Amino acid sequence: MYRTLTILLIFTSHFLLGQDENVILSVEPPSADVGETIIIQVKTKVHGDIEIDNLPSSFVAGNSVSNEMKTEIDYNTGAITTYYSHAQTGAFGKSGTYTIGPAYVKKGNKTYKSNTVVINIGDKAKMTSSDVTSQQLQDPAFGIIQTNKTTIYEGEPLLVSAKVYSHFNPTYLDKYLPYSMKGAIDKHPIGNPAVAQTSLEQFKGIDLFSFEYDKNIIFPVGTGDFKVNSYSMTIYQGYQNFSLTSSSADITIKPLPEDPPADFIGAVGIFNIERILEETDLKQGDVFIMKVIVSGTGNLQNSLEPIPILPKGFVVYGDPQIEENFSYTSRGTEGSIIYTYNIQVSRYGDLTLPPTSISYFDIENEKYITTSTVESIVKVKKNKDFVIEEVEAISEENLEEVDMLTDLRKSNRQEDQNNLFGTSVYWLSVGTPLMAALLFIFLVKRRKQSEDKIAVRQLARRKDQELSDCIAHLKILLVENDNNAFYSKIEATLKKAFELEIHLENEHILSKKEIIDYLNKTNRLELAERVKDILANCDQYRFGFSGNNHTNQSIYNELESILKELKS
Amino acid sequence: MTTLFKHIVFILLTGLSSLYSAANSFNEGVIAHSDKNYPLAIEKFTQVIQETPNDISAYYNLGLSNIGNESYGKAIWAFEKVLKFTPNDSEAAEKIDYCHMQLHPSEEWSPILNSLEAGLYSISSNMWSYASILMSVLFCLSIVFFKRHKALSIKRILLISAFSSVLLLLFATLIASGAQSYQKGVNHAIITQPFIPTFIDEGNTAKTTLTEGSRVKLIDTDSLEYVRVLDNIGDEYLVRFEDLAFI
Repeated sequence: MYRTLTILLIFTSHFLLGQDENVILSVEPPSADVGETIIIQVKTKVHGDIEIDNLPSSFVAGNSVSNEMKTEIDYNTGAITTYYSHAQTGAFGKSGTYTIGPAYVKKGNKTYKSNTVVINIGDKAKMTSSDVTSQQLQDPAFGIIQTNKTTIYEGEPLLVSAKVYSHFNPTYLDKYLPYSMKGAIDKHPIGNPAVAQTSLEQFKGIDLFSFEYDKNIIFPVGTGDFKVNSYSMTIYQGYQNFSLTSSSADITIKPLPEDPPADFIGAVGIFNIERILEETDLKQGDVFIMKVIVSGTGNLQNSLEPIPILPKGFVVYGDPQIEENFSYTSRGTEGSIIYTYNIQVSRYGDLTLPPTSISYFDIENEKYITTSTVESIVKVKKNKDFVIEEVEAISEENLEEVDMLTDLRKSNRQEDQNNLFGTSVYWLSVGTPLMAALLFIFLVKRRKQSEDKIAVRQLARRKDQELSDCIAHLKILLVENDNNAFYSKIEATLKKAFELEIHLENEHILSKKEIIDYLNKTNRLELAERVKDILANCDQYRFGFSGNNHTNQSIYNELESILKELKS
Repeated sequence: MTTLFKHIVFILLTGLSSLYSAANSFNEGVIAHSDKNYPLAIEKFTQVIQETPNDISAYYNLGLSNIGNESYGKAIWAFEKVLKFTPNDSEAAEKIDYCHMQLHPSEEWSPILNSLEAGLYSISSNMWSYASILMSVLFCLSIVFFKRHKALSIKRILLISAFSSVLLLLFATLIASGAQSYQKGVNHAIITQPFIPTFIDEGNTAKTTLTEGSRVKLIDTDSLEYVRVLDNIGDEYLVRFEDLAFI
């Protein structure tokens, strides 16, 4: 158990330390063109061997590799932090989207891992050069202004760069005064301004050294004919220098076609729209988040917020949060803008959110293109506690009718299922088992009663039989003259006769007292006296002087007389 | 014999043609509704209801088409009819609530049945009748076995079973009766016109009118032309039969 925990702890620590956020991989610029120099930099607090993994095959590493160490002091805490950085230049030979990294920093047995970076490489923009005079060609060096287009649409980005040709290999430049353009306020550098690579190029049949400098993407304002004014600089080769002033370039900016669609967001380029609802199962009054993502290439940074059309029952709270994820490339602004809306739903039911659409101007096809999201269904449960009036007042102006008309049902015929109750069949079906149960109870009771009666009758019959046997036995005893047995039998016979008379249901043997009490109760006092006498005589003749034949006969006769009376 | 056969064939053919025609009208209604041609959709669904008055979906769709046509009173009637067949149809109840809110924003709509009744009555009267018959049989069996068994523990269980059966039998009978009277009886009506007049007595109009979407309870239907009704707050009115849409 201890060992397992230790291994788990080591593994977790290694994993956590391995993801050290202090190893940072960055690429500058975040997007570039084919052949354009990029710098891959790894910055870390760990002093170790830095290695960048997963460099794409189309990446051609340059000669420039630098390693630096930098110390920073936090003046609040006094803490000194040392950073080690490794920079590698290079360029991509093919256009596409590439993932660079992660980079690893190895120190002893430990390896620290960095993040990865995605870079978009576009095709190299074809540039048009400004005019060159014959005088310029004769100079040791001359400059021209390059643009990707000479005629653009209003809002379309324009790529401009300064290009220098020279008969010597320049090693240094100075006193650069950049080119300028009226209305070109929105200007962003492209590529790595710190790096200017010289190459040998043939220009109008002459082999010249050349380099490109101060490349910018410009979003000009206004329409008409514009001039990109010349730039100037001094270039050096050793201690020799030459100052040059470039020619200028003419640009025509065309207005966009008239009557743009109502949902035109001022975007020029290629764009797309996407919508994300964070929740679709809601309760009346709930607030949900709707994200509208506008992505594409062109003048994205200057595009307007799309207007989502919300039906009645949806209320937008406040302005949307805007998150911009774009970068400036030679094609314009590339990336996306996310608009996050907080929407309260005040109706219930299956509500349909109509698509959100945008229109943009497509430069290639020279027309407005409309693109939209898909329709969304929001399921809203009723909430009785929600007070609808508050939001109704806010939202009534622009909101549409609730779309609850779409859920038509398929044909469903219901046969009459209410025709049984109250019919004779129903009452018969319910009544029959009830009656059967009651009848069963009655029959069981009757059966029990008759069984009891039979038992009593059998007992009486048995006792009657026993009585007859007793009398027969008495007759024998009378003849045999066995006095003791005779009188005992007289008493027993008398008791048996009374048991029969009283209908005793069990085998209880009556006592003399019980017999007399019974006769007294039934108000047969004379019979009671006679029974008393006969029982007294029996006791007397059994335990005192014994009787003779005559007394025996008279007692027997008296017994017979009593039995007859009892039977009657 | 031949005449009887002819009669049977005639009845079958009439029934089948009626069903076919209803199905056609239903589909036409759906198409018209989808095309937002709500008046035509209403006509088609009404036709279906006339031919097959037990088609619940036709009432539901008629209600939706009436919403589309902004005839909220008629829509309420149609959805109330749906509730008559299936009292726990929450979608129909929500639609009535919606229509009622359009007509009477300040008033709250409440269904005829409370949620418990709606749940119980949504099971058909026949099912409750079968349940009561079953309970009756169970009672009988419990009594028979109770009398026959000697073991006290079993006798006790059987006695509880018999007692429960009787209670459930009574309960099922009551619900069956209630469900049948709710679904077969005509006790309520909806005002489907913008407003209808009320009367002091037969022939003499009162100042009060009843507005579209109101549900009234019928309390006296003795007269052939007039009916005495109660509105949702308990006020009594005399109105004409022809002004009401019965549910």
